Amino acid sequence: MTEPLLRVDGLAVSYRTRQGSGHVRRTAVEGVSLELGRGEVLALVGESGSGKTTIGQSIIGLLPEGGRVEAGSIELHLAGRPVDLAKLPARAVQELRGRRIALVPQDPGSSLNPVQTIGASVAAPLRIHREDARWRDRDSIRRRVVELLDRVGLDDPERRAGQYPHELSGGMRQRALIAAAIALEPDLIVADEPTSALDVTVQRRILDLLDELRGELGSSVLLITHDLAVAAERADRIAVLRQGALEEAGPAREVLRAPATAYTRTLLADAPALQDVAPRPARAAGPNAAAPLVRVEGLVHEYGHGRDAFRAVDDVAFAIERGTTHALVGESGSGKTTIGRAVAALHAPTAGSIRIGDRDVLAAGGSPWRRDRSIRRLVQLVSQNPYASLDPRRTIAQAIGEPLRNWGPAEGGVRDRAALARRVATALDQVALPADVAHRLPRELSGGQRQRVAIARALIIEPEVVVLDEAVSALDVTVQSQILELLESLQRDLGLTYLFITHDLAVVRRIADSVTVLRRGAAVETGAAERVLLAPEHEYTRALLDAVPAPEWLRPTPADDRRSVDDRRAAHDDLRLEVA
Amino acid sequence: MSALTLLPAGAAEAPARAARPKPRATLVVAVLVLAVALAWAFLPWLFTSQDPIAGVAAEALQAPSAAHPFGTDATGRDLLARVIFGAGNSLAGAAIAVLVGLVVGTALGVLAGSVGGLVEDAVMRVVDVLLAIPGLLLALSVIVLLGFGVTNAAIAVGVTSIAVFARLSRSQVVRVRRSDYVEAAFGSGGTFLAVLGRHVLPNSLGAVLALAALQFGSAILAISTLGFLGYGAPPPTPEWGLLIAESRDYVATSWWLTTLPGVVVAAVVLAANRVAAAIREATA
Amino acid sequence: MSIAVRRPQQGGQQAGGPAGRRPAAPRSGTRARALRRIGQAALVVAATFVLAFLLLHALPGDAIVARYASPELGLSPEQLADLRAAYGADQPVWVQLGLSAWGFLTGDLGTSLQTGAEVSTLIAAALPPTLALAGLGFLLAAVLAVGIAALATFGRWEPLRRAFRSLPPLFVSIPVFWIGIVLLQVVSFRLGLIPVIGANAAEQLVLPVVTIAIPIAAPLAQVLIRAIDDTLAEPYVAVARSRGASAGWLLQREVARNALLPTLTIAGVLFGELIAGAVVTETVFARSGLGRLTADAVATRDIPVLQAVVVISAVAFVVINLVVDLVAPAIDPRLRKEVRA
Repeated sequence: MTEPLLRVDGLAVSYRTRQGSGHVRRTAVEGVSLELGRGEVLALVGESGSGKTTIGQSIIGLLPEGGRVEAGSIELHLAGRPVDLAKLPARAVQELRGRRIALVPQDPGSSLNPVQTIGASVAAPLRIHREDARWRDRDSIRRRVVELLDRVGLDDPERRAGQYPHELSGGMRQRALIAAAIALEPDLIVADEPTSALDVTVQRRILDLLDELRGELGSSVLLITHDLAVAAERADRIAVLRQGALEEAGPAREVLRAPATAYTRTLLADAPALQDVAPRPARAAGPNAAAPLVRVEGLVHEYGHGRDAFRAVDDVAFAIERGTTHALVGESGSGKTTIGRAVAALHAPTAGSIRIGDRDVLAAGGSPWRRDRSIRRLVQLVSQNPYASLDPRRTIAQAIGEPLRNWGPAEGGVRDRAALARRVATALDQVALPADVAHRLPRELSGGQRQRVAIARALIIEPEVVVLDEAVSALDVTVQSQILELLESLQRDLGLTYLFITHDLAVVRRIADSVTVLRRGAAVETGAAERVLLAPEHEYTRALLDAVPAPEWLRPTPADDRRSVDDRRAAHDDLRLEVA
Repeated sequence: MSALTLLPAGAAEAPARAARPKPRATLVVAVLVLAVALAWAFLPWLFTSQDPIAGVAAEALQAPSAAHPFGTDATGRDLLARVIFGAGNSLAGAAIAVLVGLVVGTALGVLAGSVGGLVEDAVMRVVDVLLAIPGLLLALSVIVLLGFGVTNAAIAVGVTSIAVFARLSRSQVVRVRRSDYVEAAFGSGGTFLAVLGRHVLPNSLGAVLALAALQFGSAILAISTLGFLGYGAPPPTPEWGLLIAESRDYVATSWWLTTLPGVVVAAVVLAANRVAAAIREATA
Repeated sequence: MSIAVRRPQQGGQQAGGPAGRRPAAPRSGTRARALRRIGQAALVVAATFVLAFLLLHALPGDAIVARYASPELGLSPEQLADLRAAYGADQPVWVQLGLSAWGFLTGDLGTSLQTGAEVSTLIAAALPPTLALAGLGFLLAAVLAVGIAALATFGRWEPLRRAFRSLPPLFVSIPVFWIGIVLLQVVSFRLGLIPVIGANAAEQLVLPVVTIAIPIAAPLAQVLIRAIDDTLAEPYVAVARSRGASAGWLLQREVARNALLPTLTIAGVLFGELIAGAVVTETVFARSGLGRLTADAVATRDIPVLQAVVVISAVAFVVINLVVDLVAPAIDPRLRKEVRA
């Protein structure tokens, strides 16, 4: 380890952005210096807008239009003299791309040419860089492709090479992309959020594969991720970025065990997977125990019909006590969203029953607008993407007030302007939004603020049950943590009952009282959170729990004496004040 | 392919280019051109003192000059006066055409998109049929049915655009209807009509408006084409297409007779298209 | 119908989800879908026939009266009645519709009111020159469009790209007949390059072909530019660049095929433009052909001729779209499989 493979020094990158009729340059990255040793993994960690992806793009020489390296150097030390990628002519960088530096992209779904076979995509680097005499002719290229596909763990590589991307699952596509990246045994692999579009169990296997290949090829990996737990588990060194600047950098253990800056401490405290928190204990059986508020039985949902029918939900049953949170956990295709929408009375399942209190949710049947509307005052849905769920043309006040306008005064609605404004103001206050957002449009708000608006809109007609469909999944950890806190306090104050749909077991650990684990439409395990998370009975639940990234040395142990939730929250708020 | 010097730099800039807005200055010019054309249509006598119908035989076929900026035609009529007075026919025709397409097409499209089911299937099959007949042939069929004349030509052009309006407005309504915010609106207890009025129509009609502006330009073109073929206004009405058709016999000697009216038509159509693009950008 | 071919959504949808563990649709599914699609096309043709018939026969009175009732012909009511009987116009509309439909199915397109000739003979005579004009025009348009699109997206120099980007909107704004006249004026009269009288067949074709090509090239170039832009913005293009791909590689391997499909979907629209272009161009250049036949039929209200042209065009349009739909899966493998809605 004499000298590093990559040395970034004082890097500054700016983008040209439109402002009015002209353009301005906005700095995205400023004064970032990094070192990546041979065979090492360096994780670039940061929230959205931290500049982590921009740094990756600068290194690989693929900044989007309008992006420009303003200052600094990106030295790559290959055999012989180092080259500065920031100053090299475009042609020379192009020569290095794919051969010495390779990319594992973020979204395997859209990163493979849909009209090319997997084999053709994997062969691309071999065909582009023809100077390597080993793979000049068709046959040797084909053999190499099959060898690579086999190496990344695709079954039946001969057949896979002839298939098209849409015939493969997300995890398989990412494996193919990794095969293409390592085709020419690059010195540096830039992995830009390589698993954030994948299910947790797949994420673990892909990261394992990257680790293995790194060991085999002796390549260095620049791992760009928003997930501190992934970085903690996989990286030798971690660099924390914040708003385009380097917050701190160092060996992973040092950074995570003894963060030097308050910002890193907050990130660490907010990362659900790294939180030192026990599942909620099972509640003592209250007077209502015999009659849970929500009762779902024999739920079946089929898409299509006849021979093409596909069972998205297969005989699922669970019950939720009043005032508690029930988590539906599963990976993509597990049917969790379908169940949530059925409970929220947004579509009718093929079979089964859903009851809220003494009401039959399915009684009114049919499409969203034909059913008996009165059920909507009982149950509301908050969806994953608050931007999509807010009408872009209507102000926040209009959005939050709309549910009230849908009902007559006798049904709890409000038509009077002044009264409506007062209710909206109260609702904003309830979700801790300043009063002045009322007259703004959704696009003028941040993601976290929009999600607060969506929550306020759901709560304004005072429902008893709220279905939260991946409601915090798209948010940065700190914002995610704040929204979870908000949800917890609203539950305490209003006695709400939540159906919390998520793929993230770490979040479940924090918020759920009871859990149903779903796999391919069927419930594999259901029960109290404490029981399911600490003593899982089904192997799939165990696999899911294992897949939650977090290195052993950071994992909370049962022996730790746990701080109370309130203590933790207080410590947390102090941290945030310090950062802000 | 040697003319295409394929540089990575060019390709690198491509992604963001798709969304790049057009320069503002051209929009200002376009609005000015349309404003002038509209002024010509409503107040033609303000812009010329010449008679568009009766000519001065002694001044026949004069090249453009200070007295006759666009020159004169074979019967000594001032060409600029004919173009200015023709604006009314052409723009009114285009307006009628757009109105027919917009009202009938959008009504069909919104009906299909918001009700769905069998109604949607039926409407869309009718649209398929309307689209299957090439536009000009459909317009000609309608003209044969209604008879020649500038209004009938306009209606015929409008009929040909019904299918386009219907298809666009349906797809917009369907897009909005599938959006999360419409589901949220139903989810909070909104009735069908309330959701339609609050969310679906405001969010889907922007694109329809942009299409209307675009159709205004193509309607001017189509009406002038029908006029040129002789199915629009009868001579000596000043109508842009007819104007050019009448001048064809003098193409060897009097270039201005065809060239200048054509430039005016192209300028107005181009301006309408630019405004359409601006509306699309603003409502997207 | 022309939207039947859509760019499938990239990725997502099927990944790891339901489709991941569903067996690929059997081949018979593909054939069934093709048959369904053909049936649909036949239905549209039939409906179009009915529409054209009703449109053209809904005249106040009917075609015969419209054509022959003018006072200067001086026909007596009895003679008119005889004429109507001869043309079958005295029968109920639905009987006429049936007869007419049967005629079209058996190749009897009726008789021209104007000349008394068989419509099929007239069309057969008019078709070859129009096919030559339209075929060459389309070829030229395709070349122009590809050239414009390539320079507008991959051109070396920003102002050049911008200039070529502004060509299609300009082209669609110019009246076609005016292009023809100006070309005639400049090329033949000013420059004397092509004689107005006594030009040979090839020379006679040059200006009409250019005239008809421009309104076809414009939308084609527009769609191509859009498709190339969209494709270049796809993540897989960035990934290909990360492998070291040159611009030439990108254009050939990543962009060309992906940009082809959206372009194919406007084939039907372009066909309509070709028909309109033929009517106008043949009128401007006084060429004989299908366009001229159509224009004359309108001028003289020769319903049988017009109806034949309309129906034949609609059939051609439907067939073109059908072929595009059936060919699309060969270009985009995602369309080979039944996509779950």
